[in-house]
Amino acid sequence: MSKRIELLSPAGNLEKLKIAFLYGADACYIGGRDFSLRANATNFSIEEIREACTYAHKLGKKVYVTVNIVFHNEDVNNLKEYLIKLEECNVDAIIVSDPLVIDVVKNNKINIPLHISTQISSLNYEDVLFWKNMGCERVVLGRETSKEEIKEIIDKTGIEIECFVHGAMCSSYSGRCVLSNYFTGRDANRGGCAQICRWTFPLYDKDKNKIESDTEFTMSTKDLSLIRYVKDMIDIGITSLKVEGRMRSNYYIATVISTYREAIDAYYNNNLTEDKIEYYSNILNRVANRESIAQFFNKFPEVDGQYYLGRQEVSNQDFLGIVTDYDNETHTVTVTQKNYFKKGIKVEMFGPNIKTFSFEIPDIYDEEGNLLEVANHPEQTIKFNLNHKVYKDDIMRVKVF
Amino acid sequence: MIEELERYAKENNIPIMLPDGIEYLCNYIKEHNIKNILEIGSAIGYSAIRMAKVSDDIKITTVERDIDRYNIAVDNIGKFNLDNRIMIINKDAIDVSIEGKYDLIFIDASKGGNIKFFNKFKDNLNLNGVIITDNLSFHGLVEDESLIKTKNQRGIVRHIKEYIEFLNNNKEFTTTYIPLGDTISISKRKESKLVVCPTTYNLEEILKTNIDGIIVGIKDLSVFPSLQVDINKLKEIINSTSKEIIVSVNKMIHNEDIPYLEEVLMELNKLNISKILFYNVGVINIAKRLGITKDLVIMQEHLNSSIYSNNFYYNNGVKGAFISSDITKEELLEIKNNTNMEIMFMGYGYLPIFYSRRYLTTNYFNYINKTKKDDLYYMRHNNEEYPVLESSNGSIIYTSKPVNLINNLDDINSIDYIVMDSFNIDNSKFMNVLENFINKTKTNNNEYIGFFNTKTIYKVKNNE
Repeated sequence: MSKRIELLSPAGNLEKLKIAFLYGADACYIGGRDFSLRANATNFSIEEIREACTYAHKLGKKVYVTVNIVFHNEDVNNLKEYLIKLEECNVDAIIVSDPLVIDVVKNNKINIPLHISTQISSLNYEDVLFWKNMGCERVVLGRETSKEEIKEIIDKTGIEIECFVHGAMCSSYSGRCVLSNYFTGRDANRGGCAQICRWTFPLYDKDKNKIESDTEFTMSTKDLSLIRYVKDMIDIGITSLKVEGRMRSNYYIATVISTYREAIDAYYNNNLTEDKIEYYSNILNRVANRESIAQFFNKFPEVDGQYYLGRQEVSNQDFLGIVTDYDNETHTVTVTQKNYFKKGIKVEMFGPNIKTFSFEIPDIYDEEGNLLEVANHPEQTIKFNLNHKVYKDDIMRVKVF
Repeated sequence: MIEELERYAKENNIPIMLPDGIEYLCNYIKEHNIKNILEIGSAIGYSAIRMAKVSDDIKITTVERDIDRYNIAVDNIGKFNLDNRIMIINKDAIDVSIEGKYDLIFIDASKGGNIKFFNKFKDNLNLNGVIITDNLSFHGLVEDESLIKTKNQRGIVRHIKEYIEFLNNNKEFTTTYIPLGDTISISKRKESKLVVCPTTYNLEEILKTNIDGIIVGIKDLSVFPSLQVDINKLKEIINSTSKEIIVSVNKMIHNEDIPYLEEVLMELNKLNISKILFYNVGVINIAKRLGITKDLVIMQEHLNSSIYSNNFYYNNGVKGAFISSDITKEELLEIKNNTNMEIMFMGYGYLPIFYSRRYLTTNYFNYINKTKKDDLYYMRHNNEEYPVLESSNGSIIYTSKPVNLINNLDDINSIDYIVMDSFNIDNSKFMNVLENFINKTKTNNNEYIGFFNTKTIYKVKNNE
């Protein structure tokens, strides 16, 4: 039997990396402090990268580091030293979009596998073969590819192919957009993307007459979700399923990763039913703040692929709390409050070591044992009785489906 | 009186220019109407005096480090009453700081200093000026080393050879050698070629102008420039002109495009075109496999922004690069000076800043339930209008105004190709701008130059 498909999670920091692994990721991709897009995220210091790798390798999991900016001359300083440090950290691969990194790796005999970033917009088998000939181990395909195209690429190249499975999309071919540079001076291809494609604009015809409408023009697209196509993605031989979102919250990571973990495992166990897919899809929709569709995977996206609701995004308050302790003798659970809840509401608990279950919130107490009407203070410690064993870091969310 | 100088030099073993060498130099000055001359190495002032005597309005600055020779030169200049037209400085040329611009810089000093002098004083050269150097043959010793007798001679020959190599590999200057006297080199600034991206309606008119070439896209395989033709039409264009034809296949290539792309590349290989512009590196692979011998030029508007990335592509068979418009002049010149790539750069035209596979205006009109009437619309932001162009290849958004480097061309004359794109420009206006570019006529306007003088930022806060 061929190797199982990899579930690849973003991790904006060490805490998120641990959560991603806990909730079922096989590998995480992270950014260092330099040479990485998302220049304004917290990102990992070298010490943190080392810790991430040690942690992952103990679990038999992998860490990929993004070295994916488009370099200008001045950016090349210290690259070699940086790559040598990554080698010493035993990172499992680096994700690159500028081919000069390949030369630096080869010329200095640095032993790190190379993955070609989606920023290159690799969309065809000849392109993938070019990178294969350059000694690259894996190519992350552009998001504009269909299932048939991906399959043909895999069949004709025989190297590892990674595809995005979930998260936000570039509206442009990745790497071919510099709206951010020209609207704000922030360099999209060096990590400064200001997401101008999410803005809306009045549109004019070529005689400069305004197109009258309540809805303005935008390039903005809905997000990507291929939860309904996990089966197809495994069947055509994709090596790794990538979730977008190094800037996302712990709750988002836990929810999305655990959902895809369950879907993948269910497919391998021959019990990925339509009902389950429906349920997973609902869970994923609930945690997202924008609508999502399959984009280019199943058909060419038309108006249904665009997002015309402007920058209003739904703020989600389903994440109620995270378990910090469970007392086996008294059956008391301690949670840290994340969003408003009170006695009587229906909630569910999910986590890496338990099967998701639902219950009604009983009487709740504060740390000193005082009975509470409601839990409405963020980060407040709440205790209540629960006759179902749970573990530290399990998550309590609103029961909606 | 001149003969007296020549006799004095001979008797005292002071090297002065050989007769047919100085003859040639003086003629050159006359023919090219040269007025301001900087000379490095005056010796006894012989050549400065000869050059000054070509015309009464010639002014010369000359530098001599040897105090004895300097004194003799001052004397001689006085004898010829040229004190007011020849300024002589007693300093090592390396330490002297010269202001102002010259039509001619004449280097005839210590041969070991040639390269240093060239690099130091080229900034004092007028745009159309020349740097002339004497003694490139060293009495035949450079060509025939068996004639070398002393260690000193061997050293000088080595310096001259290094200098010749420096001139031959110079990215900014082209040098010709005149086998007169002791062999003279004449170095002129390189000139960029001017190539234009026409549209269907101005193609003929543009081919009549004094440009070097045009860029044409292949239908269904390119998104730039706006003139896109099939192979038959391309053949017609080639037959109608003697200008250089550069062909673009720069669309985002999907699997289904590959058979047609292969067919087109095979055809192009047989045609009288000079280069093939591409975006997708798969093209490199296909071209190698099919044995395509035309020069490949990588055109990734917003990637490929460094010396090292260009070296990577050069080493993998790519001969040229149409460089990203998001980099500064300094970065551009660094790439030119440190790679073997032939460099193309956008001198005039709207820059594509976004390219989606989606049909963005079609989708929008569907959403608002109105009819889309054109392929071209404008989106507005802060009173600027950005063209949004839809085609079968998807949607492209351009800058709100064309970049125009007409006032900056002097800085980038070493760039091999300056490209002008007529897309979305009123034709009479474009023809005017084109004339300015052909004649290098500067404007008094504060032209839009994109990131030419501005660095982009990418870290808005410090993480450390």
